[in-house]
Amino acid sequence: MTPDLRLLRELQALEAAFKPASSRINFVVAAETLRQAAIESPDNEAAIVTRSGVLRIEIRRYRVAATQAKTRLVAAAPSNDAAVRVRDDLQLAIAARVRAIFRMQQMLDAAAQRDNERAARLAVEWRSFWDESLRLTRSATTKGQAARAQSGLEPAEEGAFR
Amino acid sequence: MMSRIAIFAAIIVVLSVPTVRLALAATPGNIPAATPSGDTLELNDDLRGLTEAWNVGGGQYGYPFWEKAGHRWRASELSTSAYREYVVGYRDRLDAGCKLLSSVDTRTDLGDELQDRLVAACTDRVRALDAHQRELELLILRDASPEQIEDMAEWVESRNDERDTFNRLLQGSYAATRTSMDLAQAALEGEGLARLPEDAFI
Repeated sequence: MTPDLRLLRELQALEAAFKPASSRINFVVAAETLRQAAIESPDNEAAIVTRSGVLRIEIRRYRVAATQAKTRLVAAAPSNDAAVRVRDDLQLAIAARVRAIFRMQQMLDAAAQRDNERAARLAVEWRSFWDESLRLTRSATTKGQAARAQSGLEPAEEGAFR
Repeated sequence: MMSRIAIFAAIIVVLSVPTVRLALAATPGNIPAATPSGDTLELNDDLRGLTEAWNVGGGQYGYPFWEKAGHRWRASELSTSAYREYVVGYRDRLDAGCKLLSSVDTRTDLGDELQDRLVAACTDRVRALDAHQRELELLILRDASPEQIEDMAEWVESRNDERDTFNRLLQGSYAATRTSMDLAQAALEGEGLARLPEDAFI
């Protein structure tokens, strides 16, 4: 089978476009994991404040990364149907991530104001949007790998759409 | 290292107690959407047990921190020797996590199949991180004591081999966890059960 080099270029362009959104996401996840660990430890008020601050910084940085990725995905404009479906999933994933980190920031605000009920509700909401974004990036990976296999191309790096 | 293993051994013992497994299966996110049959409950129990094991064995406190450290290392914001500590830490945690995954008592065919896939993915990831550690040690040797490298061509070949092994095994592990997740979510949806957290097998 002759490899479909046009599809390859389009998928690689999508991988490059999504990279900013993918590469910084674990900075946010790691910061939230440490904040949660501080919340679950007794007498750890200072650590909660510090780690909430770190999380706010990571949220701000991620918002910039997500905006970059969003712009690049629009510019990528693939023509192959399979690549368009991958692009659609990625755009929805970024939208879900932006909503997730917005809820996360609101959750931090509510927690700082000791509004625990609102903070708990926002925690559920951010987790829900985060789950949605992961479902979409996994779907994009599955579609991208299937399109590559059908077109005689090597598989992409699995982490390209994380 | 020994204390970590002791902690995971304790977790394995605790998770093997039926009441603990029942308590884990009964957390709010695990409530089935429809009235479930016995088989459905067993499937739910199997998948939640595997999720918990993956989470404890590196999903929560291993992967995100190692991955973040990797980004910082590639951006030259973290030294190779400091990054190696993250690699070793994640590898040791995963090593115990693979044993924890193997110890989950699955009772359905899909649970058995997913357990096999996840244990293989976990084992491959440990082997990948072993190779990565060896690659990093070669880099540390080159930077700290280059005079000890007698044959640079051999050093380059060794480094390339370790890097290739790392990439091949890691990509295989990621692909296996992705397809495992696809299978698990499809099965849960088919039975009218709540989906797993989407990063359950990351």
